[in-house]
Amino acid sequence: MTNQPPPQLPGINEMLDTWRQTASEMEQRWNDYLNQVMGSDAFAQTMARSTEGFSGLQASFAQGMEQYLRALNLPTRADIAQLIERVGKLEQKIDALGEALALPEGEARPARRPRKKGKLASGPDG
Amino acid sequence: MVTAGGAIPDYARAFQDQMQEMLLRTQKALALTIDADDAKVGQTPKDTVWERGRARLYHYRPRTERRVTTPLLLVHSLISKPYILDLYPGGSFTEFLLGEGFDVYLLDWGTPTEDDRLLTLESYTQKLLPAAVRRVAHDSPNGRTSLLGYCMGGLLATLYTALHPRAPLDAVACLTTPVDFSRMGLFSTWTDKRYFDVDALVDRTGNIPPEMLRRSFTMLKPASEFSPVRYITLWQNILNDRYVEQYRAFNKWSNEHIPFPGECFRQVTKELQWGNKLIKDELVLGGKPVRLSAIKRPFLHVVARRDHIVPLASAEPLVAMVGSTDKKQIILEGGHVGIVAGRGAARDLWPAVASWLSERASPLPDGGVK
Repeated sequence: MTNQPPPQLPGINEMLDTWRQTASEMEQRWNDYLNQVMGSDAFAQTMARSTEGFSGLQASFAQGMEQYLRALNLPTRADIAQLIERVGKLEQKIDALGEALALPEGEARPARRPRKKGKLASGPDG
Repeated sequence: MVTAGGAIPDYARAFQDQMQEMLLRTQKALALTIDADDAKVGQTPKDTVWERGRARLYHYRPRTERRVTTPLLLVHSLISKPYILDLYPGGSFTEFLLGEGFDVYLLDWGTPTEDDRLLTLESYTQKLLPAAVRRVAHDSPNGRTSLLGYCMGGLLATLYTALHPRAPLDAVACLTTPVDFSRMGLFSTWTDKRYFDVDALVDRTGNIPPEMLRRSFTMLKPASEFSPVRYITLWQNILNDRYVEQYRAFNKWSNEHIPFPGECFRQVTKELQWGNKLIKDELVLGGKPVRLSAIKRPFLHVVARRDHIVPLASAEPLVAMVGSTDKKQIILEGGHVGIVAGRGAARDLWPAVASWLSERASPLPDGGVK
């Protein structure tokens, strides 16, 4: 008696491959077509109007929210941003002081002596 | 007609195997749907060594003996999160560079908030990036560093190098960096100054909302958003854990855009997109002219032939314009993100960039080995 290989059912993978290939070709064709449409002046105008509408809506919402927070005597986003800005300026001053103390003037710094072996595993000998 | 023999049990067994596999695939697909956002990304261990505002300079912990003296500073784009360069273990450019013996730093611009709306190209190229370069060079055994910028990060690295001819740089490598903004494809049409009111947008929104950026990117390939292709491919590979890990990580990244600082967006639109001043040698930042011909450092630009975000035509002129004598352009088959983090990246891009950079690293001051 010989060992026959088990019979193969029609593979789902082959069907998926065919489907993927067809869908991929369609996707490419649609992308090419839509890119042509979206590359037109008319579309650019529509998109600009939609962006304007979106930003206008966002601005109105932000304004409404600010009035609401002020009525509740709570800090608004702008107040917090102002506070962060001031903290940021302080951080920059501290950084600048730190750099002035640590680094010489100018962009380049004279090359430092190589680190001793052991401190940096990959460091050079000596 | 079915006859007696071994055929029925064999077919039944094959059918049973296929059904079991189908169930397993369904189970995996459901698990993926439920925790789709839970991808573990940017896992290479690192320490914060410097910070200013939202910007952070990370230093990755070495994984192997250091074989390249000059450290490498990665400069990321302003549009997306930087973990695309450290996507997942085994699929990370950063991890690869560490394995090649590089000392790697990453300049992460952070996620801009309201108070970052006033940041401009000058803030990045004349304040933050110079400070980060100084810091890396200070920690370097030869007092120098190299730069690797991706997409808009490449643009920032290029502008910085042009503005700072004495910067302590050994080499500059850019990936998919635009330079001719008149050839940015649909972006050029959509930001046409006859219709697009950038002032109104920035004045109203402050920073450009990430949803708006995401929408613009998906509109470049609108049919792909609804196409079943990626789901079919996922289904076919769902039993391959590595594929699924990459899919999850990449999916997370492509949905995680960050706000774009408003003033910088206004400046990029007017100066670069409308004026196309970089390629015309007319760009002025902080009162200093930006001349690409002033770049004399070794310069590498890797571009992608099928890049739909930064079209090849927009990126290709960069190398010709820089003034370096040691310069090179590599054109890879693939797309904007695929060449950096796709399945072919480890074969094509990573080794090419690593070997180009390591060949240009300065020796140690005492003549020691790299």
